[in-house]
Amino acid sequence: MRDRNRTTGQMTRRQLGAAILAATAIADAAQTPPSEPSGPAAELQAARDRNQRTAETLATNWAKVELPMAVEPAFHFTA
Amino acid sequence: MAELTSEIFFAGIAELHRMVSAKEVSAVELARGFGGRLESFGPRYNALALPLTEQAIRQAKAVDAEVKRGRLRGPLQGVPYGAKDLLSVAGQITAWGARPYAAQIFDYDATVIQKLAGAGAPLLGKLAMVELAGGPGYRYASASLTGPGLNPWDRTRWSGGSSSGSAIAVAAGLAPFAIGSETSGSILTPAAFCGVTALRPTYGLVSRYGAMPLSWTLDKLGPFCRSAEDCGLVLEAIAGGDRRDPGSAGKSFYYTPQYARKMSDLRIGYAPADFSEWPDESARPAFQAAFETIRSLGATLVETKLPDFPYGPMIGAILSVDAASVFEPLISSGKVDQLADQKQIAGLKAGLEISANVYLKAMRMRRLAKDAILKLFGDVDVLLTANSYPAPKIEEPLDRHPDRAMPKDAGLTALTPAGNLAGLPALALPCGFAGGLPVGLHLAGVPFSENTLLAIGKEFQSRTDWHKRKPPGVG
Repeated sequence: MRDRNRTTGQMTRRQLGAAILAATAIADAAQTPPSEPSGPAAELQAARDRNQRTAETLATNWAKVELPMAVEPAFHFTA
Repeated sequence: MAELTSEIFFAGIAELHRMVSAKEVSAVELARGFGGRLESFGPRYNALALPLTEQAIRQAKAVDAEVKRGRLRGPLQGVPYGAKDLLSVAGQITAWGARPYAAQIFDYDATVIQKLAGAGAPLLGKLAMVELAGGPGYRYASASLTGPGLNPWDRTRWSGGSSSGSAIAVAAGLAPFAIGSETSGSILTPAAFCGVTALRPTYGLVSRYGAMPLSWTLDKLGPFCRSAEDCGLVLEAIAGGDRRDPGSAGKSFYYTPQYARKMSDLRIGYAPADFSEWPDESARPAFQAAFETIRSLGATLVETKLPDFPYGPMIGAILSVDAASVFEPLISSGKVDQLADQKQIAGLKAGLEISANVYLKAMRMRRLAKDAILKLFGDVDVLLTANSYPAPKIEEPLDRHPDRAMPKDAGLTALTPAGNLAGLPALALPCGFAGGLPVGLHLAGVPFSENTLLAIGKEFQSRTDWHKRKPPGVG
């Protein structure tokens, strides 16, 4: 039987519902700590820390979402 | 030359065009009057990047000659405007609000500049902006080559960004309309802080050819105006397919208020917490009154909430990687250190280190989030939320956590990143004041539903006068 989801990347309602339910509300990892870094080196480290928290938040959600392999990144390209 | 009155400086596009067509005022008089005003008042608010009054007067002379011959082009003919300094204008400095690009000159016009010239709208000048449209994030309002955008309602407060000058110019009557850009909040935020109406179009509806790229799949250009109706008129002129913009949707836009759906046919989704819990105490009466006005339009109000996704980290990852890639030559040359904001400098550098895996996770989850958001629009036509707080003080760090505890119910407060990730159109509507500062509503709809958003905005503005208020001291 043809699996429409594999060919189109569309999700079934059940998959979509599961994805929505699984993706719990997580604090915005891009937020900075309240204290301001002093100096360029500390500022760069703070930016790296933000990126690390962002990666961890995405990974946490990723683990909870059963993402079909056919779901492509949201790029848009026309030839 | 006729004396231009305050009424003219705060008139809408249709009225200005009527006056030009009827030869009650000439396009040259408008260009000279608004241009002079932009040059004298603009620096007071750090709103002006580059005056182009003489060029505007030359364009206006051609318009007057056309009007004299009876050649009428459309509602923007003879109505001058300002453009955010991320749009290229041939032969003129386009600094992107950033010191490293302070002498940058392109030899071509951005598509929106071409389209507005074709519509007969003289360009008054380039308007100030946050450096590199905010890049991956900045800490202070001072993150701009021209200094912090000062709010016309209170110059100790920020105008919002990154389209600072565009919002200020319209709020202070320095231009009848202006063009800005949004990657994540750069139209909606300054519009709310300065008390002007603005439209963020559907992704791909307005060509970005000739605009500084920040994030290829998020960048949009849109108008700041005196009213929703004016936004419709400007959008009609600047929308349209463009093969030079790979993100172009290839669609035109026709502003058709005469075919607007009846308000009683619409379903507006909202979250009560957005109006009762999230706003500052001082802003709640304004938001609650605005909500009651929306209710009085006759639409069905439906409690709803956004699908649960980490919108902030998703857009943060995408924007950081795109911006770092766009500005890699700036970073590798070391000139990135000439930027004004230390957080932005560090964010650009660190953006180069984000792994492809993280980026692709964000872009694939974005696909899920978009599907889920569009599914939400099966139940409602439009989402409504409030911009929860008025403009912060100029010297305040913009990334500081609020002093008070945040409500547990997220409501629709993530609508700005969510709407940008999904490419949705959005309308910013002034809806009152808190402590003397404007506050605003935020409406978002499905892609290409601009006419519905504008119809709601027009109805709201027929029952309120917040969009007609003038800041103190602007004449």
